[in-house]
Formats: sequence, C-alpha cells, structure tokens
Amino acid sequence: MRSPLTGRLPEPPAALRRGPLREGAFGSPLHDPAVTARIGRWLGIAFATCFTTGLISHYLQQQPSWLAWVPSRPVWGYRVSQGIHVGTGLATVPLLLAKLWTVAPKLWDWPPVRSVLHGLERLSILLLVSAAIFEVVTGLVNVVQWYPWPFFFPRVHYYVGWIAVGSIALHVAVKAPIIAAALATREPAGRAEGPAVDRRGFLVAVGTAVAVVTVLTAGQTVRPLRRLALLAPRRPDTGPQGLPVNRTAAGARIRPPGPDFRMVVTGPRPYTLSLAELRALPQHEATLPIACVEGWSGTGHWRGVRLRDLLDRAGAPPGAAARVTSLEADGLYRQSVVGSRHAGDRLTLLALELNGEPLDLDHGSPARLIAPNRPGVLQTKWVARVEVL
Amino acid sequence: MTGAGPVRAWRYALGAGGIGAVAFGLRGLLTGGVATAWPATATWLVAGVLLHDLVLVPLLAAGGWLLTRWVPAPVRPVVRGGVVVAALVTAVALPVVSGKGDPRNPSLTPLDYPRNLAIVLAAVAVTTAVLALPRRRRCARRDPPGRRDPAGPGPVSRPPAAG
Repeated sequence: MRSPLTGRLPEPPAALRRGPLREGAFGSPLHDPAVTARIGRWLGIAFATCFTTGLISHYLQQQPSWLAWVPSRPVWGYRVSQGIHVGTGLATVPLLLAKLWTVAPKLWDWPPVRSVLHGLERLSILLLVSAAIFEVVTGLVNVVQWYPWPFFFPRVHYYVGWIAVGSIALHVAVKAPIIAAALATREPAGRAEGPAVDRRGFLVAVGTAVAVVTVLTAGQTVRPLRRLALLAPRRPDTGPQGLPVNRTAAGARIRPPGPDFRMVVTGPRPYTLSLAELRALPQHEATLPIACVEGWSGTGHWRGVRLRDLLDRAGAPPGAAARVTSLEADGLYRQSVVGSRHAGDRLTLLALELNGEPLDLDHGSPARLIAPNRPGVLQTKWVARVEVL
Repeated sequence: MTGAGPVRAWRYALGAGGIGAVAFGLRGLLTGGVATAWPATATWLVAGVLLHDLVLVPLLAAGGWLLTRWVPAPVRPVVRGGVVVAALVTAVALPVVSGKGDPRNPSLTPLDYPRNLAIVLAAVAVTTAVLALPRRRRCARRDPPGRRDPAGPGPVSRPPAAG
C-alpha cells in the first residue's frame, strides 16, 4: 500500500553524496543504537526530572491562586526540588553531548529525506536537539547570573522546556521498537578487545563524567559536600554572615535606611512601626534555608517578628494572606504574596537578625521575609510594607 | 508506527501528548511578547544546533581521529575514557571559569575556578595514566612496538575528509 506520507521520494543525484554524506564516513563503533539507547534512557530520566522540578519552581514563583493549598512544610521542600533541578541539569550536559555524539552520523543520512513522514520525523528531531541544547546551555549560564540574551530567562526556559520534553516524548514513541531492541542487546561476554570494549568504555567514561560533575557541584546545596564543590558557582557558607546573596543591595540600588524608616502595616487596623518599635515586639527564632532558584541553598538562624503577629495586630481575619513590599524602586521581585498557609506559619518571620547579628544590608536589612518551603526570590528583602489581603 | 494492541495505543498516546506539549511551548514563545522575544529565542535555538553539528562534532571527530593515530590500541580505550571525562567536565565548568556574572556580588563564583579546573583535569590525567600504564606494559611484553599498527582498526570515528 502506498500512502502519500510513506511513499518513497525521488533520491537526489548520487554526485551530491560527498564528504560526511558518503557511505561509511563515520567509522566509530560508538555510533551504535546499543550505546545511544543506554545513554538515551538516562537522558530521558534527567529531562523528565528537570521538567517536573522545573514546573514546581515555575508555578511556585508565579503564585497562581489555584496553588494556595501548597503547604509551608516540609521547610526544605523547595530546597530539595530546586537542588535536584539544577543538579540534574548539570548532569545533563555530559549525557546530552554523549547522546548526540552516538547519533552524529544520522545527520548525514542518505538520502536526506526518504518520504514525507521521514522528513517530518527529521524536523521533529531538529526541534528536539535545538530545544535540548538551548535548555542545557541557558540553564548552565544562568546559574552564574550571566545573561547574554535579550529575552526573560525564566519564561523562555519554561516554554522551551515544554518543547524539549514534548519532542522527546514524540521521539520515544516513534523509536520505541528500536529502543527496545537496542536495550535488549547484550555484548558477548568475556570479549576483551574490539568494539565491545570501546562501547563499554565509553559508557563508563560518560557515567564517570556525570559522577565527577555531580560531586564537584552538589556541595552548593548539600552542605557536607561543600569542601568538594570546586566547580560550584556558590558555597553554602560563603557570603555576608556566612550565607550567599543573590541580589546585593548595590545591585538593587538600596541605601541603608535612616532613623526615619517606618514599617507600614495595612489592614482593617493599619499602623506603622519604627525600627525600635519593631525590635521591641516579641522576637522569635527560626532555622530556615534560603533556597535559590539557581540551585544553591544555605541554612540561616533567623530572629525577628512573626508575620502572623503583625497581621493579627492589623486586625487580619484568620487565614488571611499578605503582600510584602520592598524598599526597591523597581525589579521583578520587589513584591511578593505570602499565601495564607505560609502567612499563618509560626516559622514565617520578618527577620531582623541572622546568625546572631543584625541583618546585613545585602541580606535585606532592616527586615526581610523568611518563610519555610519558599523560593529564595520570594523571600523579599528590605521589607517596608506589609498588607493584609 | 508498528506494534499491536495496547503497545500501539501507548505509542500513539505518547506521541500525541508530545506534539501537544511542543505546540504549547511554541505558542508560549510566539505570544510572549518582549519577555520571550521570539526572534532572539529562535536565533539561539538555531545557533545552538548549528554550532553543535557544524563546529563541535567535527572537532570531536578530529580529536577521535588523532587518538587513533597517536595512541597505541591497547591503551586507547582508557585514554579515550580519560579524554571524554576531561572534556565533559570542562564543558560544565565553562561558565564558572569564564569569570562572567556580577562582580559586585562576592558570594557569586567566589572560588579560583581556573585553578580548580586545572586540579580536576590533573587528577583525571593521573588516574588515566595509572589505569593505562599496566595495560601498556602487558602489551609491550606481548608484542614489540614495531608490530603495532598505530592507525589500527579505528574504534573512533575519522573525520569525513580523512577516511
């Protein structure tokens, strides 16, 4: 049966078959479905993990109203999910490069397009490869806060993530029989020479690279590994008062507030507080992590006023949410909404102290929000206004 | 697509879901306005794949070819493994080594990364040498160096121009 989709298209003139298009141009035994499927399996798991944790991070930052049920516990929830996102993303670099190397000859297939369906499949793979490279490169560069592009990284990384996992799902669906057959292949045991050794050696090398990369970077969020974090962009204990900073006061154009600083609290019974009055309120302690979207995290011992005490005093109804606003003149994260579960949590503070000292200006002096299980960019710094919602 | 019954249905469902996800992503990029700046995003998408296929892959092929020319067959798998690990770790380290980022923030990239990468690469080189030396000695005993064919039955691909 000849369908227009699968019918054979005319082959281009053989004279065009030159260079990498020649038969046997790629001689390596590494260009083999057995290797591709094995690395591909790990790469698929890595992309699925990054996509899932990426969605979590995306929606937590967007704070849509349908996510108001998200609990404020466990306190380390976002720390773990985002640590996994970035850690897996870093491990994806070796996996992706190795996977693409095993299929490099496919780019030079002859004839380039056998049928309409084959052409469509090749287009979907072009989309897959470009989206996968894009996600890995932009994510890798973002963790050092280097933005050599004009678009808004979180939004584009999110949408291209959909393209990447979607085209991977399509690719797996199309290649399922080849993948199953390749994974079922076993190299003859006991052979010490030849292509089998090359393939096994390559898989071992790629696995080693993943392990080395992970060990040398995971310390940015896994504290016991911090001495090994030779290539991590952060150390969990390096920064003012022993904690890293994402946005500095200089970067946010914040000056130290003077004696005229007032914390404005609005609600049914609005009031303002000077810094001395804020310090005179009952102070509470909380040991909570700052967990950044960039994958690092560090634990701080915070001391300050409970957010729910401030809201109660303003006459907030039980279960009220709040909005906190920074002294920052602009910036995407100068405001954040604290949902009712987080606002009512006894661990959610407007912190005035960190690790036994008055808060450093880079950490949000005079007061910053610190809440459990919350992305770092929503732990608003230099807070000057609290509104009951 | 082939396959029978539930397998076939599973594959169609996965494929259809995939196409839906791709459509959602493309729509988001095209309608996102300034935030997604689609001409720039499209440029980056295309540039990544072109740089990979037309620059990086030929370089890797050339590296593999040199490996088959210069490294004796018995130690080649070990040496190739060491080179693969070194290259992949270097790829991940490029951003921190580049020194980009915000210099006003001392807690961002606080370490001497070029030195750290050099330490890691040295450790990989030493490990590779330790693993390769016994093989080399074993093989040298078995057959004199003159009889080994350096170009060997190439386990690594040759660049198109040379094969």
